[in-house]
Amino acid sequence: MSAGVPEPDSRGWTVLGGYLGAGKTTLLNDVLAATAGRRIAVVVNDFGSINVDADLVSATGQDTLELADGCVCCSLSDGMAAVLERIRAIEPAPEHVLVEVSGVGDPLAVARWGDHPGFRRNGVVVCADVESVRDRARDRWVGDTVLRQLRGADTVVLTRTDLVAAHRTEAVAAWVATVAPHAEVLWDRQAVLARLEVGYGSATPAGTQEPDQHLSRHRSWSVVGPGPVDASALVAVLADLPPDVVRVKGRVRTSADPSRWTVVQLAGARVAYDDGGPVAGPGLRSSLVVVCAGDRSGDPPVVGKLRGLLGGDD
Amino acid sequence: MPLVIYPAALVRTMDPARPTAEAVAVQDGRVRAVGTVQELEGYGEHRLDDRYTGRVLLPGFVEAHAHTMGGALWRHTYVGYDERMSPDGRRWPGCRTLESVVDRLREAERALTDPEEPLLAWGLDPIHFPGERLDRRHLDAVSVTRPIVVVHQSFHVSTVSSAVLRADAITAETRVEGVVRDADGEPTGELLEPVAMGLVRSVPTIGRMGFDRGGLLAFGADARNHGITTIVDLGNTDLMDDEAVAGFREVVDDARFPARLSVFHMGGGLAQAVAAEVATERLLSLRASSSDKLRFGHVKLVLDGSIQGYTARLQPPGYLPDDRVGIWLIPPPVFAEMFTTFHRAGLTVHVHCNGDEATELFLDTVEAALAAHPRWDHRHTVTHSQLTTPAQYRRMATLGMCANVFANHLWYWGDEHRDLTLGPDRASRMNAAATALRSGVPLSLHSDSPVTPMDALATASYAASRRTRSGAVLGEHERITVPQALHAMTLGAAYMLKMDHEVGSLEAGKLADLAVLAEDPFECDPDSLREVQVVGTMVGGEPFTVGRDGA
Ligand SMILES: Nc1nc2c(ncn2[C@@H]2O[C@H](COP(=O)(O)OP(=O)(O)O)[C@@H](O)[C@H]2O)c(=O)[nH]1
Ligand SMILES: [Mg+2]
Ligand SMILES: [Zn+2]
Ligand SMILES: [Zn+2]
Repeated sequence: MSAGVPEPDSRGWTVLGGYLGAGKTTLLNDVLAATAGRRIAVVVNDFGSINVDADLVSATGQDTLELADGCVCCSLSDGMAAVLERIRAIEPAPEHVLVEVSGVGDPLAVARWGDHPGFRRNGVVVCADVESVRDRARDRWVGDTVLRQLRGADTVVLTRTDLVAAHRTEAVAAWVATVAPHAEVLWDRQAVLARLEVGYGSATPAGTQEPDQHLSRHRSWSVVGPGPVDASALVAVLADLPPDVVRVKGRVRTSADPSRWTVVQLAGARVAYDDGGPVAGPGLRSSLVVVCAGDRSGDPPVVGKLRGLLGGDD
Repeated sequence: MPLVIYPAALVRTMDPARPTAEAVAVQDGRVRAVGTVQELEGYGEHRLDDRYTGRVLLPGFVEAHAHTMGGALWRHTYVGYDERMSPDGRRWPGCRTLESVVDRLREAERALTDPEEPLLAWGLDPIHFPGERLDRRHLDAVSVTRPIVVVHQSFHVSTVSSAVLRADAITAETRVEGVVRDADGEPTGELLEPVAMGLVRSVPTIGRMGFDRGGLLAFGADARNHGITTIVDLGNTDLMDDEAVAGFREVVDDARFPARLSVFHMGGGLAQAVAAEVATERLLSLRASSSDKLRFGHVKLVLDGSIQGYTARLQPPGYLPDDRVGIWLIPPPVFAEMFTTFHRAGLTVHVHCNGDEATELFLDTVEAALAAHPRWDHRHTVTHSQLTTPAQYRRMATLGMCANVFANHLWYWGDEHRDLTLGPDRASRMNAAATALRSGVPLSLHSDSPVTPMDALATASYAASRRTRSGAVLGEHERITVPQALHAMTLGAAYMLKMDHEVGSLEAGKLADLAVLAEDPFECDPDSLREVQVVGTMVGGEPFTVGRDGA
């Protein structure tokens, strides 16, 4: 694309941060698996070997770029400009870019590159290993780094929750809420995936969301199912949403045309339905994520209704 | 090859066993002997060469921390505040006002024939123009059509002309942080930090850390102009690439290239590094293929950022203004793994540690690595070592480590460190060359070109005087003597490159590398040391003249 021509802000820019071993690459690979067939570019800024599943990446036509080079005086990486240029050159353009930041990197700083022409800044997702994050946050060498990462997050994803009792996960979630009160804390893997799968977050840069989203705690649910979904029933369910539902996002195959995706998005008070292109392969499931404000304990009724519609196995 | 005897006004050998001499005798690129002319004539068939009559000869200086990018910058227009000599020997007076910056750019603009070609300049330091700011209007006065980019000395800010703003669609609507705006919200042309600087896509950036033939030639010439005969490229990202290595050989092994070069592998902290195990194997084979002039095999790792950028890792009490403590460039456990891999393989590792917490981590890592894999004479080096404490220097002595101290910071940023980043106490203790020597730690001093200019005598002068730009002496008790500073710039640096048996002093059998000076630097006071004129160098018996011979 020649300089001076305005580009569509087409490519979502989502940043994955978190300390070494927090589960960034695992999450990245899960997202790539869940989004097989969609155009997602991956940027890794990690040390040693690159452990993004290379087969997966090449099998689905996704592009993996490495971040290299840096500033001679302080070594801060400025190779990102070149990475953006390479992503701009990819044809057809990827819908999304997922950036895995180094374990000591500041994901919020990397998120700023998402304001560049041709990109759309999405959220900052920070992985936190429930088993170790609180110790890491007190660590002599990296405590401040870990806390800075969490404070920069829009979403904190708790990882390795399968290895601890539920009450410990809850306790870590409560602690994260004190460190990063603005962040949403998720750990249900399907909810996390659904969120990332549909293009994480909104087009709103961090810090400019409505104040109520900032201050309150959110919970989210994901609904995934083989579909196809009855189109008119879906519209009916989503037409009547209670006010604590702040976000519904996802893509579904509907009975109207099971060969194409329908992208569903609650924007303001209105639900938009847009064509999401052809369904690239068999076995791809419909998925929706529902985010509610407040500390609700049980499932909201809308989630139950959507499960019924999607034939949800979750 | 016949013996050639070079009589001089004085020879300073840096060898305490024979500290001064009248002349040097050279044979087959090596020192045959130093002594009186009469003595040297006793070594058999010879020729007298009187080119150095009246000159003072020292071992060629060794710069153990610089980057080839320092040479590459001279492709572009210099607009800095201080007078500098370009590799071709031309003197560029400092631009003391914004008007003179604009005049320099006009002159450079007139020399460009292709109207499309962008004009790049570097070296601007706005600290010298308080209350004024270079902006797009200054640059538009040079040309309204030609793209112009001025990169500031910090390398963290650039100023661009309206033609660039237009070409890259940088407007009032641009959201990116770091785009400086005027009262109407329009970009002024100033772009802060890489995220905003990266908006400029129509003009290429000013340098990189891979192999760069032209930059390398200029780097060698720059060294020659400052009496430096051994230079280090401290951290190259291209050594896994055969073509780049062949490029290095072609340039450096050519007799016309006026310096020896030790190319370190950039092992981590900057680039997407190859795995340490892979790099190690490659480096061992490259090391075996080193020539007299071109050396491979050492490793550079980068642990933290810079003090002036508040990104160096500091132990308590941290920075002066607030509770920032800096950033790590490599996660500590990854650093330990990488370092230990290189250490076990017998390689020497120089680690960028600006802050004392970075030094502390490095020392803990070395201690653990030595306990697990004992090794003598490793010469692992703390490079920059700006805030290394006395206790850390004592540990370094015990661990067998070396310090390469960033003395130029005292002059270039000393006032800022005292007033803004650290406060007077710790600023007075920074770059503690005297403490290093008192503790018995082998010492060198460096420029980190292009961060500051590569000029061995100036670097020695800053360590000896510790004077800042404002004229204050920053930490008088950390001053070292002129002879100590010159030792650091010769044998001291050679030692941490494991080249002290070959260069760094003038002794029988060592390589015939000389710095040719107009006067005796040992007789200078610390401040006037940097005024001593460099006339030329000799590398392996080959003479080079400042601004002329060689590359
Ligand atoms: N049991 C379990 N292991 C996980 C989970 N997420 C990551 N891991 C493991 O933790 C290790 C580090 O994960 P990785 O994604 O490479 O971390 P990164 O350094 O943040 O990229 C790997 O061995 C993963 O398999 C999880 O949710 N549960
Ligand atoms: Mg990873
Ligand atoms: Zn820097
Ligand atoms: Zn450097």
